[in-house]
Amino acid sequence: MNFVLLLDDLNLICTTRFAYCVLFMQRCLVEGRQQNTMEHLVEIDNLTFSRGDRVIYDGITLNVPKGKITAVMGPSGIGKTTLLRLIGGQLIPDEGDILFDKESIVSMSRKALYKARRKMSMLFQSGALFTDMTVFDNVAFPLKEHTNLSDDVIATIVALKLQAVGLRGAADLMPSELSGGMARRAALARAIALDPDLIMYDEPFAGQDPISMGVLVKLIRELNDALNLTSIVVTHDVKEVLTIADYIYILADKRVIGEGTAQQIRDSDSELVQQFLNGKADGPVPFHYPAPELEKSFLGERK
Amino acid sequence: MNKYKTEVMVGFFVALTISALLLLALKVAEQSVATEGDSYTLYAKFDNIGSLKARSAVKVGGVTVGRVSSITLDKDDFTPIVELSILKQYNGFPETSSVSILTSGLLGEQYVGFQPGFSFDGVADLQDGDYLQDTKSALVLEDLIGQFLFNRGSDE
Amino acid sequence: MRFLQSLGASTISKLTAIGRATLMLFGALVAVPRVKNIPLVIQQLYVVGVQSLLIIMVSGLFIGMVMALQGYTILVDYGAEGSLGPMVALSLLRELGPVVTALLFAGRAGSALTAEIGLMKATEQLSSLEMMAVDPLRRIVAPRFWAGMLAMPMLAVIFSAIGILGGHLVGVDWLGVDSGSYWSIMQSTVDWNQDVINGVIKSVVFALVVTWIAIFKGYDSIPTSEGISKATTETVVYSSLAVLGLDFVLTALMFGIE
Repeated sequence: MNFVLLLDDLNLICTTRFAYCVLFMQRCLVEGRQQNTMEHLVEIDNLTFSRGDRVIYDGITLNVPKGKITAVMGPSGIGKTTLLRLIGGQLIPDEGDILFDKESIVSMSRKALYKARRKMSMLFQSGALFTDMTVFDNVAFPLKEHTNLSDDVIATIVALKLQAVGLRGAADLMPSELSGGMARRAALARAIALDPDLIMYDEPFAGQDPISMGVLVKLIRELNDALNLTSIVVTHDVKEVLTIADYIYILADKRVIGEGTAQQIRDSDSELVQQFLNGKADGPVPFHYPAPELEKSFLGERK
Repeated sequence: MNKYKTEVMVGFFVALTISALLLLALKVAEQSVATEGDSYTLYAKFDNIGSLKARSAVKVGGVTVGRVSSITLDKDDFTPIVELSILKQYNGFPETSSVSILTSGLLGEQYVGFQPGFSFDGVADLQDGDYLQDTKSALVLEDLIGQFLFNRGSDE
Repeated sequence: MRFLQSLGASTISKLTAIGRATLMLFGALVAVPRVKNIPLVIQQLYVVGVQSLLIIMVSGLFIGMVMALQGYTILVDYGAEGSLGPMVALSLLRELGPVVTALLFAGRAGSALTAEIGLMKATEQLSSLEMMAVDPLRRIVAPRFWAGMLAMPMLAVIFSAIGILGGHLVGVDWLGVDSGSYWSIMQSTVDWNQDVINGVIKSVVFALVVTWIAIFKGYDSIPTSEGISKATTETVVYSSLAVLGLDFVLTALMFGIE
């Protein structure tokens, strides 16, 4: 049902899509000329970040190409969400630099940072919808805050955005009345309300049933192409990501342990990458949290 | 949340606050008593004012006719001067009037008792800024005890 | 040595917390208030003010009634039951109105503010605002702060007025104190500037402290269920202690030194 609706819905944005197709072709021509110098929207250069005494990133470098879906994968607890917050300027790295659209997020003034944030948006794991507003007001919120559009225009835009995620009928519901997948889709509608350049998805597939997962995968891909967005998807759901991501980074042990297209990743000869892809219980990422040897613990030689 | 309901309730809240303030202003702290325009000033010198304070009442036979507006010390003879602010509507007291410092009840606060004098020919009425000549000071407990002991001593 | 270390550590953490709280308040208030944000303040005025109204009115009524009852039994022995009016009015206006309102406000609205902001943090709503280039200090913190600053003095005035009426109800209507003397002696004793205005000033100071603590505790809370419950408790405890302590200081400044 949802799929059918969605396909219909996407016709609505087809016109924009066509315009972007033209743009895309132009860009292809440009890229053809420049060959190797692919344009990057986000560039992370030798970034080091630690929280308290715990080092989370130790000199990672990664680039997010414009107009593509870049996936960042890694085991839980590796600080993938932290990476998104660093890009959003909510956290300041200890060392290294983060460039957004060729400008350094790290050394930006507060005002410039807030301006830059209007061009990016983030889909939080929980959706982070404002619980005291209806879905409609949630999606209208960024428009009301940042534009002086009249209420009628805002209502039209909100209806279009909700239509794109298939929730126009749910406009008057409160967030507490939505299922997890619907809440995430509503949050997605809010995230694209201001037509950003960059969307960051924080664990978009976590805790979703297969149908909502399929819907989200499709939405991420379609929105990316239709609105000419750049997407960063942070996740540990290997299967889904391999189907939609144009470029993949795998983080583990504070470093980037593998990168490449889906095919390159599958063919990687790194043990670590293979363990992650195939979900083996033990391997370079140990099953056991670091601890003294079992015999010693039991025999009382704790020191 | 219904926006209309919210606004109505906040309006009700503000109205309630204003009426509470009005109650405090008019009924509790009664603002209108003895404002500058409708009162005149008399002065009285006492030997001792006891615990009389600014804003203490001035009463004639129990009726409040004004208030003590300030208390100062005369620099020449070191006696307290009490400035009385009397309502304009109570005028025409004769010059022979007297004032004394009294206490309301056993533990009550002190006030100025105003005793209108007899008026006969040749006695003018008190005017704004006049000094009252006849004053009786506050009773001080130590003085009373001293006097009592002194009288006993002279009896023996 | 260990004692000194823990003393130093707790002093440092307290001082940095005060620093963070000051920065937060500064960040929230430095912005010029926008016309767009007035509806937000009204919305919050409803939440912290109107919804506290019932508890404030009921408490005020009962405290006034109890004071009249207790005061009467003592004053009647000295034949001074006429002084019931000023006794009730002065205690309410100078002390009980501002103080009890602040304590009830901390329990009713302060804890709710902390929990609300803490949960917004836990559910990433604050982060999400930031990512939408909307400053949560201005969008979330500032309207709540101003609403608290407005609501508490208003509630304190209502509390005192209802308390005085409650005192009248018990003293005059039930115990037979003369209504005229209840009001007239009150009027001759209570001074507008000295008593009413000073009481309002007190409650403005309490409003600042309680609202500030409540908002900061929520904003600074650890975004877990345990962290939020701790922050809520601390809001009530800290703001109650701060109110009582400050009350002494303010009373000394206003009425103590003449």
